[in-house]
Amino acid sequence: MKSNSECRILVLPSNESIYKEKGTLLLDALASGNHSVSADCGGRGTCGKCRVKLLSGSVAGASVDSDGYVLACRATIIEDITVFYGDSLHGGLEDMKASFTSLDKKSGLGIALDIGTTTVAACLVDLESGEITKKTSSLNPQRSFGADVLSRIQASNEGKLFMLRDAIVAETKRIIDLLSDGKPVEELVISANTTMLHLFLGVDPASIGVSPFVAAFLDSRELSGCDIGLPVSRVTLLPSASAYIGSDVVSGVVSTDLDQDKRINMLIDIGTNGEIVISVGGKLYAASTAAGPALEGASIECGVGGISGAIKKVSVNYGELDISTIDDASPVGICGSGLIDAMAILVSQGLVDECGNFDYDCDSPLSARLVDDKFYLTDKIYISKADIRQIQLAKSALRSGINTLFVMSGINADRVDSYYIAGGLGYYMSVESAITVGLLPPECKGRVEISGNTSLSGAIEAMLSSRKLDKAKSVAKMIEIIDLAGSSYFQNEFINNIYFNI
Amino acid sequence: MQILEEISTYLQRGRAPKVKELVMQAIEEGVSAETILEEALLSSIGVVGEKFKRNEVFVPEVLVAARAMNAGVEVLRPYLVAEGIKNKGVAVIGTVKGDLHDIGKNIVKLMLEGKGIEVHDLGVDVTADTFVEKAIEFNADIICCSALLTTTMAEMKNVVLKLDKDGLRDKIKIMIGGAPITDEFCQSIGADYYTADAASAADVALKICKREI
Repeated sequence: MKSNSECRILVLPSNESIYKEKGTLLLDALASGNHSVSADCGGRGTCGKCRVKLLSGSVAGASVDSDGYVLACRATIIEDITVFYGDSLHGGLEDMKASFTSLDKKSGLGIALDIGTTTVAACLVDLESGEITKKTSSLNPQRSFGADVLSRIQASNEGKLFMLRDAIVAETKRIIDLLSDGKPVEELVISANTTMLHLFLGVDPASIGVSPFVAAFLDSRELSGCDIGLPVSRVTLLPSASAYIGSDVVSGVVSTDLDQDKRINMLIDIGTNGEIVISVGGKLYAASTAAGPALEGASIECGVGGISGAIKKVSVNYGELDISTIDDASPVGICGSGLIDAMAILVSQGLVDECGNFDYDCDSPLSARLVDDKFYLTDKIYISKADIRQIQLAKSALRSGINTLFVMSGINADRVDSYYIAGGLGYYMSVESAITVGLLPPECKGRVEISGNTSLSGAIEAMLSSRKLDKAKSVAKMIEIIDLAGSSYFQNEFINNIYFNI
Repeated sequence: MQILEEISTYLQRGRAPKVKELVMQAIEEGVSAETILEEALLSSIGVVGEKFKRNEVFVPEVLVAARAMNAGVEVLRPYLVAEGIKNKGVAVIGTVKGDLHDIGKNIVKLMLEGKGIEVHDLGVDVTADTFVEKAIEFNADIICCSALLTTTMAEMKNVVLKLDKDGLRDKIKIMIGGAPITDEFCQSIGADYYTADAASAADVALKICKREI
């Protein structure tokens, strides 16, 4: 019901009505309903990801563009309005096995939960058989506070810690209800990056955001569900290794069995933060590198997440571009895997030089697509010069992190037995394109294991076996953290790897 | 002059040894150190800065061009002193406390040097007190603060407060920059100037030094 000072925000296509006081920010109003709007820049009005279409009424503080869109993070509500906002789809469940081995004598149901900065993924597991009976994924509702961990920490610093906590706890409760269907759930095991774990418990993450980057807690936590208002008997938070090597990475080491004797393995989780672990005869070194959100389509002019119509794959066939989109829908933008393919084509066709500049004199059959410092994939969707710069920074950050770990552990890239590539982007992207772009070392060819969501797999294993949980605890203590920010080798590599190998 | 154009071309390509050699040759040919500095070295790094702003060159090219410029400046230094050439102003620059990122800061430093401003680099993780102490010590016109993290940009406010407290706001201007910074943020903390890129920062800094703004 609405009072005089309240306005009604009708959201299409979901047909939801939200009532808010005049003067409320549209972004906050949408977030209070069932919509989590992306605000990758944390609401500073710079990323353009919170654009919503204004169908009727007007707003203050933001201008309406020629297509009728406004930035929700700038727009203040002054009267009744109708907006169009379609939530995007999400991954997080790529290649999940149907069942795991249950070693302990347990019974009942358990839920394993992976809280990513962008995506939340969960599985309902039969604790006796190890079978996964249901799974779900959704967007982390905290993303209206910013896309990356630092903007979440900043939001917490601005007094929003408990709002962040309540948002993720409410989402967790929704997931438990959805998966359990009213049946009792014994265990909830959570794997997440260190910041997400702090926010989940309402522990101040401020010290993770500034040098020397220290976490308030790293050890595993066991609580009863009623302590935090969740309808489960026990809640376990898996242990982290450092402020930027969280339990999601520790889980990944456990689930890929990375630290086998007599083998050299590398785990690479590609995302907004790239995390890399190398195991040399059971000794573990890890580093985290801020690749930025570019590889997930954010901060790219025509970039989108994994939504219907996102260009996911690009190849060249007889001099023509071959483009495929999610759901084969008509193209709306380009997501991470498509972006890496397109960049690889620019490099291999010589449409860019080694510095990343477009080469207009290139004799590639595709050079007609180069217009005004943009490479057009379709008549509307392009990769701009500025986008290439973003890709260069992201790929150099990850690759330089990988190279630094090689040097610190005294290993050459060709001595690695297996490269485990984790994460949603890693699942969908072409390894070949990633090598051409320079994201991955050429030596990984033929030795790549695409591993999907290793954080979630590790959480399931730790739930089913106390031996695996103990393993996670020892891995978290054992990992030696390589500080890239303070490494002059990394700084040098970072400059060198910005170039492309033409 | 042919030789100045040649220096400029090699500088923009980042060829430090060649720049050094040609600067020496120009001196031998009797070109004044000031002319070489202004018309070959500083103007060329300005061109690189403008190209960087338009995304035509990127971080590595700027850094190698800078290395080439510094090689040329080193050769010129004794001649500049002999000719009594003075800098156009003084700035101190650093990345704020809690933040360790320095690539952006280094590029801004170069662009300011390219305008003939003497720049003292305070490094990374610099406290508000250090910014102000060093600005006083070097008799600076400008304090330049850089931050890459949303969690550290708030530290810039402490620099403003410290300078306020010391009653130096009329004498020393505060410029801020870095990926998360906006003009709105600049105004909210009461800093003097925000610029979105290194080339614009150099333009604003020069105007401050010349007391044009």
